[in-house]
Amino acid sequence: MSLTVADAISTELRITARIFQETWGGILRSGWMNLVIIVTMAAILSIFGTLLAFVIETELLFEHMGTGFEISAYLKPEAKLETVKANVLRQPGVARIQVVTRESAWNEMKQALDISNMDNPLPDTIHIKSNAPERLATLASQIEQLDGVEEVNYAKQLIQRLRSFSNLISAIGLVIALFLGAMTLFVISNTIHLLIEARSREIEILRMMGVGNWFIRLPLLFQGSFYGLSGALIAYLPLLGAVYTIGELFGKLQFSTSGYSLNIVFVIMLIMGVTVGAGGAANSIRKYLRV
Amino acid sequence: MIRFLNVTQKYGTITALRDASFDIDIGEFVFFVGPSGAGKSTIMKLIYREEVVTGGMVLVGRVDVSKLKPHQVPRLRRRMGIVFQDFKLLPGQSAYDNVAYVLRALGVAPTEIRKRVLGALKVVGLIDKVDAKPEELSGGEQQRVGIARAIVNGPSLVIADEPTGNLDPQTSIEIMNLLEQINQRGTTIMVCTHNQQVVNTMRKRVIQLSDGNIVRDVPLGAYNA
Repeated sequence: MSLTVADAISTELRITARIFQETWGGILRSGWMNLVIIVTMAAILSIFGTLLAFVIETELLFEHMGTGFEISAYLKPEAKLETVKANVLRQPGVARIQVVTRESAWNEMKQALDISNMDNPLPDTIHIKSNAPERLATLASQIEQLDGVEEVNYAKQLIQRLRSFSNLISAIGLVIALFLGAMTLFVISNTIHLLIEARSREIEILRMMGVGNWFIRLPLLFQGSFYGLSGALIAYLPLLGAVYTIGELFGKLQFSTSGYSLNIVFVIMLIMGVTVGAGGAANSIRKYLRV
Repeated sequence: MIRFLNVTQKYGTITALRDASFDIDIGEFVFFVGPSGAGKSTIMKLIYREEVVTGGMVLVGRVDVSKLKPHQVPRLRRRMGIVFQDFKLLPGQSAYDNVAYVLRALGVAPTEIRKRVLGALKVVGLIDKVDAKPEELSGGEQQRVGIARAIVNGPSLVIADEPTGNLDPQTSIEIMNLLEQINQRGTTIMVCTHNQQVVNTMRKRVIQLSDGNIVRDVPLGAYNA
């Protein structure tokens, strides 16, 4: 029997088509288990995706805050503006400063609030932009200790609260995701095990008649991947909601998030889902399938 | 076609086959006889490499079976057809689909599958039952489907492990006649059995095993010496 290249290719194509057919057959056979697995998978990926999106957006927020936020130093009434200004500029991490004298601030306020006959209660203010956002707290305390500085104000509390909230979310999310991940792996592994048992006769026939091992393994691996893929696709909706909510939340804090995390998180979810799905199947194949 | 050279097969402390040597030529029809546990199935499994030989050498064609890597085993098995005692048919699938199943997995073209499956079912005399499911067939008919499946890929060797173990005497003889018919087309046939009547009726080469040893190898022999 002589085989041409075209023959060989069409044989491979038919085998490939057959493998997908077998995969679909395996899915049909698994019945309601499909639903359980896909829903579990979608739930775990939603949780995981939301967590990841939150962490990414918060990091972006911090970055944004670091450049957007500044330290405001209010001077004592007797302080010499020029001296303090020079001292501030000498601190490491200071990118640039903006001076608002008490007179100009007062003029602005008088105009805005329509008050005229009062002594000026405002101090001279220096707004400081930092080029090292992670050292904002250190810089602020250094400036506070300078002669002539009454008080320093920056978004310290906000950042700290966001940080600890973000850490809490990450920790809780990680525990839940790990637990559900292990559960999903177990459920998928079990389903594929049941399928191997149910198909044991077919598998034995295929083996004995010299059908390649991959023809037997691949449909099972694909079925596992199918669960991961479906779960990730379904989880896209909750993820969309989560990213939108995070955007709203941060929007209230005067920061616009780009929704930048959406696509990258979705891709990671797809990869995670397929990996867990195929991993669960591979586990059962390794344990129960003799080829 | 098949050559066993001083083959010893051990499973842990149990020796299933001891220093077995024999040759089977192309086109032969050979019975392996002996009580259960004598080593018949071990010989079969060594040939289709379900077991890896622990001592000696097993040659199939010019291939040293023990040297095959796992991924080369399917190619070896595609050159042979295996018939089982319990038929191993897929329930709920027609005779046609049962025979076609493996060809589909091997990526054979649909027109070619149809030609070969119908050809094989014709050889085993089931051309009028292509659509019947195993549940609708008698034991003998089911084994005929099993044989059709074994020969559909045009193997040069057919291995049958107790093919009549689940069949009545009359049907057993019919199945043997079918195997002989296939043998006459040039296919080498190896049959494991402890069915005395079948062996005595057929009068083929007999290799007798006892407790892992080959105790008799005679042409045109009977079940007992």
